[in-house]
Amino acid sequence: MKKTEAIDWSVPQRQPASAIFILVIQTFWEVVKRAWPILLLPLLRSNDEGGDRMMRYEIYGIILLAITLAGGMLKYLFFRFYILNEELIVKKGWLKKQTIVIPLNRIQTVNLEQPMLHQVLNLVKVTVDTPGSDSTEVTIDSLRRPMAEDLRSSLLHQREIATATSENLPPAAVLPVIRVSSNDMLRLSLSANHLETFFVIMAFGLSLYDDLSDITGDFIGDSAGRMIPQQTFGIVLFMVIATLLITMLISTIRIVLKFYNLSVYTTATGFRITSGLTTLKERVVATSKVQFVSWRASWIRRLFNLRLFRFHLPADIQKEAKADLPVTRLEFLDILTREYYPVPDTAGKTAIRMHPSYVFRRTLLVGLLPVTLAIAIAWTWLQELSLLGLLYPLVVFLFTWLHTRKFRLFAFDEVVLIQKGLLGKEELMLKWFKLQSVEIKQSIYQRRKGLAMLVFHVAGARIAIRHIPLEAARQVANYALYKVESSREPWM
Amino acid sequence: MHFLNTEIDPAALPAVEDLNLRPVSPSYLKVLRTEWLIYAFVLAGIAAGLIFLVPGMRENYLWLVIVAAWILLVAFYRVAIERSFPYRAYSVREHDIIYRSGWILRTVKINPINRILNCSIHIGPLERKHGLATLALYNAGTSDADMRIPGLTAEEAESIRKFVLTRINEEDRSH
Repeated sequence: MKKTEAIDWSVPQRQPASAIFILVIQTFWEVVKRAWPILLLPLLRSNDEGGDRMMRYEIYGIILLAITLAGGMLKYLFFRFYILNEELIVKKGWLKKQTIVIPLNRIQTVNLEQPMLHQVLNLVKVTVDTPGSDSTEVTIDSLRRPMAEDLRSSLLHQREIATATSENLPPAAVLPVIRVSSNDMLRLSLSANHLETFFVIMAFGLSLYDDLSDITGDFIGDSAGRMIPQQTFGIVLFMVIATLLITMLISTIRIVLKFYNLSVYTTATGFRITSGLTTLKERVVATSKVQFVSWRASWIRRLFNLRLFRFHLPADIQKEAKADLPVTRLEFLDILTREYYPVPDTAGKTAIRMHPSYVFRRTLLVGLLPVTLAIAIAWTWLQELSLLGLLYPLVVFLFTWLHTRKFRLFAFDEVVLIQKGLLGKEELMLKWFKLQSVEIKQSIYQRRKGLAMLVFHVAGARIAIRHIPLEAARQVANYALYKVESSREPWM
Repeated sequence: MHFLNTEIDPAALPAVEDLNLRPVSPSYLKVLRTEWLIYAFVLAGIAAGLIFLVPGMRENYLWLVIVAAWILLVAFYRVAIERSFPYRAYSVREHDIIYRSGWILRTVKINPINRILNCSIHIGPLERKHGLATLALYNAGTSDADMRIPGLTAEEAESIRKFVLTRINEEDRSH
């Protein structure tokens, strides 16, 4: 690791002066994000003559600039951080002073990121993750790379002394064990969930429309109404094709943003993952901190022989999506799981399955019952049309049937392997000793039928196994407890 | 047989279902009933506010719906308290703590002691009156307690807390 000079971390440190630039830009975006409808107001509402209008823009501009500059400077001046008595201490804020103290042994990962602007200024953004809640997380916006690396090694080094393990990041020259090629990107893009993208676009469009109509009245709706001529078949067809193309394009962009240049390197204690198109991101995953792993594929992705892999870490409660790793070749799955636990072979093994009565119970309780009520209420206004609601229980039935059919729980000596999915398939592998607690739940119906729900609590996640035989639930729970309570291995 | 295990006979493992769990203190039922009374009064206040302050409520028989909803909620809550009380029980084993509760949905939760990070005792004003306490156990990854055992006598709660803390320290030292 490159070190210019030894930094004394026990002395409060400031970010380098070039950080002011980043902080000012950041403040600018914060102001714009919070106040953009107000900033747009003069553009949309003003009926003034040209000169007056220009004046007004200038005043707005100057106010915005002043707030931004002052905000950025204050952020810079009042931000200090240091390491004292095995604790990382960060002090920030001008009016609202804030001191964050994180014991070093609670630090989960230290991530270095380099968004585009940081790349230009040769700065690095450092985030420090701790298990559990997101509120204790710390971000140091910009540091010079040697300083950031020194900070990371100081933070992690002291933690490693505490946990008596060692972590050495490999030199950058090491070849990645997994790399996403452009061919893989194409396969991932084609097989993306375009329906989801479509809804994301819809939701974004609607919220934008809402925000705008709040300040402009229904100006947009009115003018759009005037613009659309008589709706003809041709236009509808054009709209459908255009929507499809835009959706596919945006799906592709999402995939590119997520996985561009993704490389996975092995380290002494786990993996280092780098990725990013505009923002170079780097994550370090220590295998000992991984609670469980999962990999999934929609039915289309299965056709393309693709999976999305995920390490589930305690600090990732809010940010799990970031941890998706595309598995474009089956041997990558072996590489990713090997250190945690090699995926056991399920061939010829007996699995615990869900009781078939779940399909009917769920269709009745979640499907038919609420729909009957809804139809009874809606009949007054909709008459026969409300009967369309009966499609809903059908959908519930179909989904539950598919889910029940696919579900399998395999209890192995060291791990539990759960398979589930509707049309696609998701697999989840958990080492018994990573469990935090176990629950067995029974509804009145389940008590009559000798069934139960089994719940595994893992740091940051809850895994529920519904409607399995009570006897099986008890056996799994007893075995899980035996493994947890007799284990000497640190779960974190 | 559902279990796939070559080394250990699952039937030989200590089983949670064989345990004789200890019921929580009977005076906790009094606490629950008082809480129920307070809840019923507060809801009655809200219902009365709706009936007398919202215009048109009294003319359209809507007040009847509100009164019916009040009766239903309050009655259901009371039945839930009475029916679930005999089922509330706990047990402290050498390696874990077990708590059983619920009425419609019955739950048995088992928390291994070597996963507990912290353990605290909460005493509310009603509990204090009856010499009771709630024991809260905290595991990793959650901000709220993972297990709460209410209705323990203050002495029981304190002795379990001491036991758990001693065990946690032992575990820490053995690592």
